[in-house]
Amino acid sequence: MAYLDNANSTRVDDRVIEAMLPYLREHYGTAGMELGHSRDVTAMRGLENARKILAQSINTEPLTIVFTSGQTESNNLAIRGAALANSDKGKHVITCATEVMSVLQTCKALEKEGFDVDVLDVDQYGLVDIAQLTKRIRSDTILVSIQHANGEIGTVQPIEEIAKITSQRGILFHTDATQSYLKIPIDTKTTPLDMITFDAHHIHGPKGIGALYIRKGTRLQRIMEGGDEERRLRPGVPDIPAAVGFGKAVEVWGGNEPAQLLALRKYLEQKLAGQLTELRSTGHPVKRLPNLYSMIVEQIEGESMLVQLDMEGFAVSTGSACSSKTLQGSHVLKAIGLPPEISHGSVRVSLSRFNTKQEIDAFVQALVPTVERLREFSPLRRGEYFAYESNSEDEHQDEKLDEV
Amino acid sequence: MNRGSSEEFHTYTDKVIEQFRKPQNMGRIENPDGVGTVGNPVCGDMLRLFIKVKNGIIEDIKVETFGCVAAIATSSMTTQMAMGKTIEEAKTITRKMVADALDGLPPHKMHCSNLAAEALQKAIEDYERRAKGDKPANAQEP
Ligand code: FES
Repeated sequence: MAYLDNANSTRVDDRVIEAMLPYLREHYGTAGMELGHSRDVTAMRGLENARKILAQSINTEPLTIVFTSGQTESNNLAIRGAALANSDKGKHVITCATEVMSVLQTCKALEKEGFDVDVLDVDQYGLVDIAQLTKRIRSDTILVSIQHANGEIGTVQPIEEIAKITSQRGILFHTDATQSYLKIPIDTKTTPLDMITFDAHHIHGPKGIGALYIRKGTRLQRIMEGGDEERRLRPGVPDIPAAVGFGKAVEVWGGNEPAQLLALRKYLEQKLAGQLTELRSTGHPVKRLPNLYSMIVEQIEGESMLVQLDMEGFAVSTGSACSSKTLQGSHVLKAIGLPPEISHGSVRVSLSRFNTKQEIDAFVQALVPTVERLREFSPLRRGEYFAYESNSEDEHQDEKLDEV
Repeated sequence: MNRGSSEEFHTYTDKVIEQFRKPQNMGRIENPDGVGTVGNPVCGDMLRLFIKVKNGIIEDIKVETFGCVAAIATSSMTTQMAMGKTIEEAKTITRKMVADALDGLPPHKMHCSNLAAEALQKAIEDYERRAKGDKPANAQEP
């Protein structure tokens, strides 16, 4: 038994839960700006203390941190907020193909509203090409949004280089650092980033709370109307218990955790390489998240592996088309150039502080026979790829439609 | 990325899971009398079904499947439904019958049941073509 899906979400640390409880039971004030009573004051202290902890973690001042409901909202606020506030300077936005949906869909929505969006391709490792990025910059480019690390394949983008390019040209740079936060240090004093998205539930904090770092002086427009909370950028009473938990999660994060995660991942990689053939990893071999291993197990399909592993108590993920309701495979695996019959074999293992070597051993012990069993009856076993027979395409499309 | 299978898992019936865990008639037949190959362009899955026919009766049937839990379960179920049947009886097997025999499939998985049923029909066509003395459908057949 093991939970190996930490890039999806993590277990909340007990210390975080303990820190949150008083803010649910006793300090349930709203931390309003007009200080009324002591419950409000204590609540506000908790909120501001959390803000301070977050600010320290990326070497900035508390004023630059705005609490949101999570990654999705932070990405929406950063991209839409910056685009709207700076549209007098231009309407061109650059992003890349492997971003999360809250980035890609926000950009798509902006396109409908008259903005021009360029979506950069990535190479086989998932990296954006700096030369291509530079070439796409126009005189009316106002914003570049490129993630720090990808949650499906783990590839880490060269955000320092990008920041240098954008800052020299007066273009805003937003990075979604949800997956990398604390695992790969970010220093806002040495890297000229304008906006950074991060959230709590990837670092053993609660769900429903995230933050957006906004460099001082960045023009941003709020995207939701209401009161003056959170620097007038994010109206509504913030989720104070969750923010306190977020702060605690950052506070208890150990400095040696990235190294431990990396050691555990390396252990997993070695075990897999020793026990499975026709296995390849996806993502960049070196520039990648310490806790994430994404692989293709050839000849078999990910959902069937997942279900088998789930029955044996192991939680992992796949980017296989079969496991999504729309039958669309992962857009990330597609962007790195994998055809469906290859990306079908995708399995992602993502680790946390709660995982052990014993769990890795047990996982590999469960995975190997699963793979062998499914390969046993795979038509691809002998390397015979066969072409689709003619005319079946339209039939399938039609049938799929009537079933839905 | 599609995560934890539990949601999917719970939408599968017990029969589907049972067939997935212990699928029947998986593999290939050497020197088959008919072969049906289907690729699913919707999501990239592939399936190849082999039959051995004697006196108009399917006396052996095997299938190789590259696909999800539903594709494996429907493959297994289809072969069990066709085994021992006459060619004429086997022609009447539809994907709906296969899905029903599994107590149903999640709506977005219905297309998988089509793979096996279609491969069976193609294998039968191939058998009939060969019986007439034409070339086998799969020239590179094993
Ligand atoms: S085989 Fe792809 S969804 Fe069933």
